[in-house]
Amino acid sequence: MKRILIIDDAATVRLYHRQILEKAGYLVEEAFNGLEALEKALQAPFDLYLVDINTPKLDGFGFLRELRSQPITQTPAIMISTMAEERDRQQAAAAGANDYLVKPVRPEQLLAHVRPLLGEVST
Amino acid sequence: MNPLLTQFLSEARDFLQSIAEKLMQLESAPNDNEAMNELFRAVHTLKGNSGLFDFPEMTRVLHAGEDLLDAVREERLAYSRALADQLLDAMDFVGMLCDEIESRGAIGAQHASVGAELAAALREFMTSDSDSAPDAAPAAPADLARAVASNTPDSIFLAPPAEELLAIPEDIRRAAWQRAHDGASLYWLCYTPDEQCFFQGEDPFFLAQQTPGLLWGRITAREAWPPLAELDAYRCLLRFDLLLAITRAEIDQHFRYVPEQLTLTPLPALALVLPVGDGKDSAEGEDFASAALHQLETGSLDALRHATTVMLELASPQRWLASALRWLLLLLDTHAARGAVRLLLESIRDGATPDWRQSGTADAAAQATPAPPHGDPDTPAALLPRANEVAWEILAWQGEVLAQASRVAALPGHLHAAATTLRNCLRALGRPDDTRRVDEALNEALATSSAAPLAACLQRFLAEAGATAAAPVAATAAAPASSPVATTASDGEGEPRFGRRADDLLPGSRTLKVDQAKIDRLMNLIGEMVVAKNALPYLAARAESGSSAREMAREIKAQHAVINRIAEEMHDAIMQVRMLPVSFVFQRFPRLVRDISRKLGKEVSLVVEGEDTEADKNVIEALADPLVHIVRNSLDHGLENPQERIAAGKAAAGRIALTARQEADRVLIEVRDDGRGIDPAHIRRKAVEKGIIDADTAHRISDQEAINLVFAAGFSTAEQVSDLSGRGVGMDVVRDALEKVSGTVTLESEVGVGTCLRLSLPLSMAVNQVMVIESDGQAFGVAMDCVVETVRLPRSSVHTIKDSLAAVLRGRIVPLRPLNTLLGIEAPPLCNEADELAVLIVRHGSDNVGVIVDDFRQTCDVILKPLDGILDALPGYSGSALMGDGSVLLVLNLKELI
Repeated sequence: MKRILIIDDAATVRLYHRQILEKAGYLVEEAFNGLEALEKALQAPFDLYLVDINTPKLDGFGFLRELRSQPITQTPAIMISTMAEERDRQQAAAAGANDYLVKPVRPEQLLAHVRPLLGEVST
Repeated sequence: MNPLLTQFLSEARDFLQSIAEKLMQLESAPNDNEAMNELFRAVHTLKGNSGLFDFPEMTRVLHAGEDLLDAVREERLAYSRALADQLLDAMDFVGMLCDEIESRGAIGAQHASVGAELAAALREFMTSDSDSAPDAAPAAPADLARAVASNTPDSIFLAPPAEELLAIPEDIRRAAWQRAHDGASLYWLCYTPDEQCFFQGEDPFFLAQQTPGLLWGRITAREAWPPLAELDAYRCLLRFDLLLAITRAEIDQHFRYVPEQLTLTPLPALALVLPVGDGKDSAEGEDFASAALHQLETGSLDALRHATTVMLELASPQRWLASALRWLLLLLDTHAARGAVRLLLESIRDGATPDWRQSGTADAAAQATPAPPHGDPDTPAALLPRANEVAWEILAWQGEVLAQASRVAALPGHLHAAATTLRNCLRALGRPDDTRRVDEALNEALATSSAAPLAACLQRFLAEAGATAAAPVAATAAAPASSPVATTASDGEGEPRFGRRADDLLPGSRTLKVDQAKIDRLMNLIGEMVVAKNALPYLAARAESGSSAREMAREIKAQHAVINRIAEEMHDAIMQVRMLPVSFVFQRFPRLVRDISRKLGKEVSLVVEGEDTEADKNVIEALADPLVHIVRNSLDHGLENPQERIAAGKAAAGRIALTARQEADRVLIEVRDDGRGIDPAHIRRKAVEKGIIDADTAHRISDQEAINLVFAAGFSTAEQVSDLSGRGVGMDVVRDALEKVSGTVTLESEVGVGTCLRLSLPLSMAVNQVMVIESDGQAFGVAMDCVVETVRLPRSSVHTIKDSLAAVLRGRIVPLRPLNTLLGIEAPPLCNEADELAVLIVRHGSDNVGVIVDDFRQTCDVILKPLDGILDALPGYSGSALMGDGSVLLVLNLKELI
């Protein structure tokens, strides 16, 4: 089973994404901020990261930059934010995000973006 | 409720609490960047969370708050008290919505306008205070939102000018008048969709068209259309003017996603009485009106109606006079107010458009517009009549498009486009069945690569239309009206606004947040318990194999000791889980003190100490209301105005200190103010006035005893009932509430220096230690926390003073009460062999009282259950407990009994 780590400081959002992903058959873990996510990522690698930009302590950008600095942690990551500006998308791409979604994300939309990154055919 | 929503509400409450804290923190330290960032993040996250659900009202307010805080954070805007006030208001609103979601599962539509108002008020800060703000959101002007919110009858003459209303055909205006006469309320609604609305998945035309109670509507452009080449088709420049017979609640419901885009004006029906036509001035009109006015004055209305009917037959229907007469007849038929009829007649006489805004007609209008709006379900017209014409026009144009479609390569595209347009038009015209014919024609056209079949199909439609409906309105009537059931949220109208105040009940949070370590400890204990349990089958086997009874008893006792230790520890652990810090109650006081002191015009600084002190959840919850009352009293009666304080040589700002600390097995809470103190002389006078004590007693008692009289039932020292304390709750209620959880309250006060209230509460209350006593052969429990000691007194040392018993104990006189007498048991107390009485010395207020019982037994820990059902009303008992041998022990409430 593919493992996905959700990084978001809002418990409601984590639960929301978790429900969608678990229903689709993924193993989901959660992290409150970038620091916690890094620790989890080093303990056992994940297949995909869902990263909220605006998290306390270490934000989504910082987390991704850190992740990308190590050759062993080149896991795909989707950035999720409430900001929809082109500038934000570019920043996310520069930090190493493979995809960018704007909150709130609809269930089918989330899965449609998650599946290709996990090497699955989107239905 | 689904888990996601539960999670949302629980998290939202945490956020709201932290937002309120941060807002107040920033008031004292506006430059605290970290607090500012946390505040922004909390609002931002909460907004994001609310976006997962269908709570537009909440999201809108939070979004405005977020933008505002963003501006403050980036120093485009200064943090101010007014801004904090507005944000706190907005957060109260959000909290109220949370409560409503929790209790009803959804947000009532009636909150939409308040939400829009709050959002607009927040945005107003940005527009008014910082013109430099580059990306200040396209805020709805505040006055617009206010117009939405205004629902007062004062605004009836804010009606749109007559020129606007004249755009409505006379027959529709007449129908509207009739509706108003039947009890509907009329509104003129101007809906200006957001320019970017198409990108937000909105369909303004559909929304307008589906408005319940739609009588008429038109669509205009907000500004001149640019040349075609520069036209941005995705920018919505439309403005919808709608005439509605509808209730306010229905409007709120229907437009709940876009309340800030509406301008709503209640429309007095009279404003619609506008004659149209040629030849305003006419001699016959003048003659008729003069005569008619006379008839009106003399009250001969039948004659007036007859004259009007005759005159109407004579006048050409297109004339202005005929139109005016038709209105006159309608007014007479619907028994309009006489003032209104007169005004219309005068305007006929003068050949002028009646001016209903003229002074003096307001009451006439009010009479003519029936006041109570009935929420009768309306069947909406399928289409705006004008839209119908447009649809036919578009159809006609498709003919030209098809005629030009000649280039072979582009032909299929052209054909598809034309067919799509055709289908949409037909659907809009209420003829969805005819779209099949279009499809057939399209297939034929594609097959033959010629536009002819489609053009022919179009011609047929146009021809049919010409035959059936010279007036497009007919098509409207025939259209299958999709009638959404008008949801009448009539209960919403009279509901109070978000009446949440800082001093209201704590939000109903039923989730207990527990430290991980406490759970782990409980987990370990369960493990031990499982092991201890496994020893029992082993013991059973030993008993079967014939061990001696004595040996078995020893082993069972040993095992009991093990299980007993675990049970005690588990009990302790679970009590720890139930422990809450007093900050749970204290946290709302900064807000409460801030709000109330501002309202009273006093300056107060609040000092809170010992918030980490923990006590059982029930104790903490029981503490909340009394504490609020005490602090309010301090604010209201204790602390003086700044002027008085300065005159008394004190600092202008008063001080209230709220401290909590643990002392042995009790929590002590102190509320101390440095106000004017309580004057014992004043209390004495008051108590005598109220008949609580007589004048003699008043002289005899000490000052402290006098002050304690404030706890007497029915005593209130307030000279006047103020807005704050006028709740009919006195200190006696505070005392009673605390006694329910075995708490006590004492009061100290010094005139001119201040007052201090001390509350003492048990740490926990789920498990009580009781002493079992015996009386007349029955066992009763007495809570240990009121037992001072147990003594055996020789019968000879008990004296009878007047009618009551007393004994001297350690140099003090202790009154004695036989328990049998208290319980109404007619048996004398029993003595032991040494002729001694068993006396239980218990605390009673600040004195000790001896209760004579038959015998003492052991003390034990019990779980006290309050008496419920019919026994609940039984005085004298605090509850019942199940004993180890399966019997039920009644636990006495000696405080009530003595």
